[in-house]
Amino acid sequence: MVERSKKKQTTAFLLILIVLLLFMVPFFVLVINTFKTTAEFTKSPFSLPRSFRFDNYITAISKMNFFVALKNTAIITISATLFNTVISSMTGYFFARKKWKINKLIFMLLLASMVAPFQVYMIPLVKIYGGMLNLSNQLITVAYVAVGLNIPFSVFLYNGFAEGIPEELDEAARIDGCGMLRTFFRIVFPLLKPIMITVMVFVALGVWNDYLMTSLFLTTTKTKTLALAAFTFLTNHTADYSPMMAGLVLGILPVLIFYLLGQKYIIEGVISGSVKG
Amino acid sequence: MKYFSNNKEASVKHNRIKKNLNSILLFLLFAGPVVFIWFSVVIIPFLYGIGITFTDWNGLSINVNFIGVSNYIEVFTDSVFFGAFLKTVLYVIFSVIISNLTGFLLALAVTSGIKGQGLFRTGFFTPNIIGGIILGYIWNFIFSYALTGLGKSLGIDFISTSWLTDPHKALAALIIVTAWQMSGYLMVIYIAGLSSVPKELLEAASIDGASRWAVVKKVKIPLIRNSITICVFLSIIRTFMSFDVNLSLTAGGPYKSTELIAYKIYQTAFTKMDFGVGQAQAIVLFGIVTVISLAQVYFTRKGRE
Amino acid sequence: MKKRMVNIVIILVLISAMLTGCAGKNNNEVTNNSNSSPESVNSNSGNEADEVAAGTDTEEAIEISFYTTETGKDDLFLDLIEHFEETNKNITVEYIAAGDDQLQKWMSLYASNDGPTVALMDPINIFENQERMKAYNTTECPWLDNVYEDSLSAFTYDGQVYGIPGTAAGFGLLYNQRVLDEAVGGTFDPATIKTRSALKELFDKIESTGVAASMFTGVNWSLGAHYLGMVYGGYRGDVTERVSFAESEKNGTADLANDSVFNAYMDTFDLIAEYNYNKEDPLVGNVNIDAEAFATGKVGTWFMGDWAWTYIAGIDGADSEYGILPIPVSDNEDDLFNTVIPTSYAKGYCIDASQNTESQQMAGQKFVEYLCTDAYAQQEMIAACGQALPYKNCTATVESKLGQATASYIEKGLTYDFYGTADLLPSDFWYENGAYMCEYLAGACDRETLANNIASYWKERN
Repeated sequence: MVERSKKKQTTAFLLILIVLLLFMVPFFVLVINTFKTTAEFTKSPFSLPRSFRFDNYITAISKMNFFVALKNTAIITISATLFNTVISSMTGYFFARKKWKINKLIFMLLLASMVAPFQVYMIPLVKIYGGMLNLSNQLITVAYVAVGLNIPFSVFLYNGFAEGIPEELDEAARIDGCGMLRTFFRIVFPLLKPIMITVMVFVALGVWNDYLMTSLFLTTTKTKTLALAAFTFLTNHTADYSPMMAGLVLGILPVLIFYLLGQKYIIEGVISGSVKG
Repeated sequence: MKYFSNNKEASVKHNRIKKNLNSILLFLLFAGPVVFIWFSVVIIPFLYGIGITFTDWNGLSINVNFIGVSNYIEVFTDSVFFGAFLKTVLYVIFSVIISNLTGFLLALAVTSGIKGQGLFRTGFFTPNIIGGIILGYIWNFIFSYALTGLGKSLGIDFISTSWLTDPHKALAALIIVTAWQMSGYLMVIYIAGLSSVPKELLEAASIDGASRWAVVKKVKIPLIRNSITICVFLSIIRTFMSFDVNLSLTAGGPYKSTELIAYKIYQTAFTKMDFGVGQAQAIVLFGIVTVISLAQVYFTRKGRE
Repeated sequence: MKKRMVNIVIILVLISAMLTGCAGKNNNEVTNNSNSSPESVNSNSGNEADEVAAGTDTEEAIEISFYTTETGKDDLFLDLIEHFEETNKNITVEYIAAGDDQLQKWMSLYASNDGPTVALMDPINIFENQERMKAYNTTECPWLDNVYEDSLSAFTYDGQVYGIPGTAAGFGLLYNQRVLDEAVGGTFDPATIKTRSALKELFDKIESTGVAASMFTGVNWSLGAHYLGMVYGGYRGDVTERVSFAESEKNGTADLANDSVFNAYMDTFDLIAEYNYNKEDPLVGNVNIDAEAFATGKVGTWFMGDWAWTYIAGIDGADSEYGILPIPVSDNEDDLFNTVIPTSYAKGYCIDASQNTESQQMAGQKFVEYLCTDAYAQQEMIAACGQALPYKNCTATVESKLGQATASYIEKGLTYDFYGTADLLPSDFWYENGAYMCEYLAGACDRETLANNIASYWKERN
């Protein structure tokens, strides 16, 4: 009986391992082709590289202006993520505790705005922030817009999580004479850690990889982000794929590391956050 | 109203005014920044965008004329737009079903106490780490060359020509890639739901001799209804708006047979330079998706009660 | 339960309020804005220009921007900008390159009031937005004489020149000299192919050497913009006749299915399709793979243009000699159109007058002048694109064999201007009709359906 279930478990393990490998094929393709020339890549995109040549990485770093782009991307992502975390968690908690009509209404509207196609407001966004306020080609503009675009999703998750934190904790703090703000930062904020990391990872991933919105505001070479710089290799009707892929791999690495570090908390966060029962 | 009941002692009128002022301050403090930024980034541009739908602006022209609802009339009488919409509905239905099923099964598998859970959880989520455009390009190569190469060498007709050059198979390819990417995302939420199922219940069920399948069906699924609602809601929204993968995988081809609605909107606005019409199409899409997703949330919730 | 219903109702009401009430209000704002915007833009730029003019006795630092839709040439343009700035110390040029999204990016630049001073755009885009553009005139730009007059036709509207053409692109059936030499047993001479049946014979000969005879890259831009575009080109007559045909399509009086020019080109299309290297799966449409097949001699001829040189360069084991054949339109040896190729000036430099000050516009003109008169600029441009330039003082020679082929057709006077006029084909012509052409190539529709589809596209444009 025990042996049978062991055998069963091994088969299950192998089965899911195969599924995982199938899942990973595209990444495998991406990585092996960074070691080939573009000509080799078009000829046989799935063969193993003949040797580990790092030329594409060197080309990518110099042509994409990699370190400048990395710095720009990091500035935007970090500032947007941190700012979004603080304000969205406050609102999420606030809406969980104070069920005023206005709060409920705003919350529902926030959800509804998740459905709005970006195309509807992208050109108006540029008209307002670029045209009227003259803020294009500023990293901070992109960070600000990114905060705004991620608000609905973030508030949604924080709200769900905060609902699960027993209200007695707040009351205990209130008896101690803490105001709501201090209660939040002293008592609730630390408890939000798992959901915070989850939201941060989701937001950071989105901002880091964003092409469309970023491309609307950042046009100069100095302000390019990694996602924009990767398109340096695009030519009319075709592209220099190999260095482009090398650039992409380099661009993914930091997020991958960030994700692996935060991964432990992600599921924990979603568990207690969005989904109660 | 909880607010007032909590403060029964402080029922003096004077205090009430103070409380009201206090409430406003609290609101400004906690929700003010969010509401301000969200309004300035989403709501105002969105309303501005709606305004454009009543003009003949081409996206560049200096002179803009108010033309009433004629852009909307054009949208509602455009059979191509509705063709794209029907295709999108088909795509949404299949993508939502497949990715939710896959996501759920993956979640079941990686919460079953299998070895290397962490690895699997990370692995299945990874497709979400890379942006959609580049994934589309990679998959393009897989469908056009890897599968065809395999098909030719094994003599399987079914895959020896590219899926992306056949209208039906190209739509299927889009669905596969979407499901591939989204199922990992949904898996995370399903895992969350499954982990919150009380262990005692599962133990009780297995003592009663219920089969694995019965446990899933009778215990797990009813208890994670909320996760299902959220997952279906998110996947409906995401697939209706699907643009990146459409652009980089099929670019609407072969011969416009996989032009999904978001892509069609983009083409109208930025290739045809019919900006007002493109905006109107997007608003119509917004309306439809809002109704569908609200109905979905409503009915799944109703089913629970 | 009831509460939830109430919530949902509230949302629906709010959304509909947003869609109706607020929309109406906002809409007024938009129109007001836009009505007043030309004035405000003009007066704005005027003021600034005055200030600048008052302040500039000698030289003041001017910042301009250059937007290019010719992508993948960053190194070239950055190098040229640096060279230009060396001699024009007071001007700095901000370089902006398009990605996959040339019109969207252009629109967003204008939306943020950063309309590029100089932009390298398609003629149709310049034409459709000429209200924003500054016309070149010979008083300010004496160097206009340096540009071949016939190359300006697609950029001239109402007698005003709004764009200066960049490189000249010739297209037709590219051929691999080595493969064709083997096929004909000797040196292949393109002048021997004067009819459609001669082309068919050539195809048979190529096939008999075990190599595929011809190739289409099944993509909308090649089949739609280039192949179908020829139907509206020189074979139909001069520009007036081309325009009147387009007009007759719009008002539905044309009968494309029975149109002789259309059928002439489609007969040749069928011929190439019959011998197509990609016949099994005609719509895979990967230029790089096709270039590889062509350059390494797996296929003899390819419907493409001389820009293909940039794809061929860098392929391992590529042959070295190539040429271009015209697309024959009949079996009549005396038909001139069996021996000419279309050349197009697909992109031109235009100068924005709506969001740039007078002095910026002047500096922009200087930059365009530099690009089309400076020897170094010309040499670099030709080297990077492998195509000829329509500038009289240009002495740099084209290294590219395909560019050389185009040049030799130009020398012999065997070319016609593909566009003729900018607004002949609408900006989405290639996208919509390219799809129909792909459908036809894939065998998913017959010629009559194709003609009907194209006809209905035109009627919608009326």
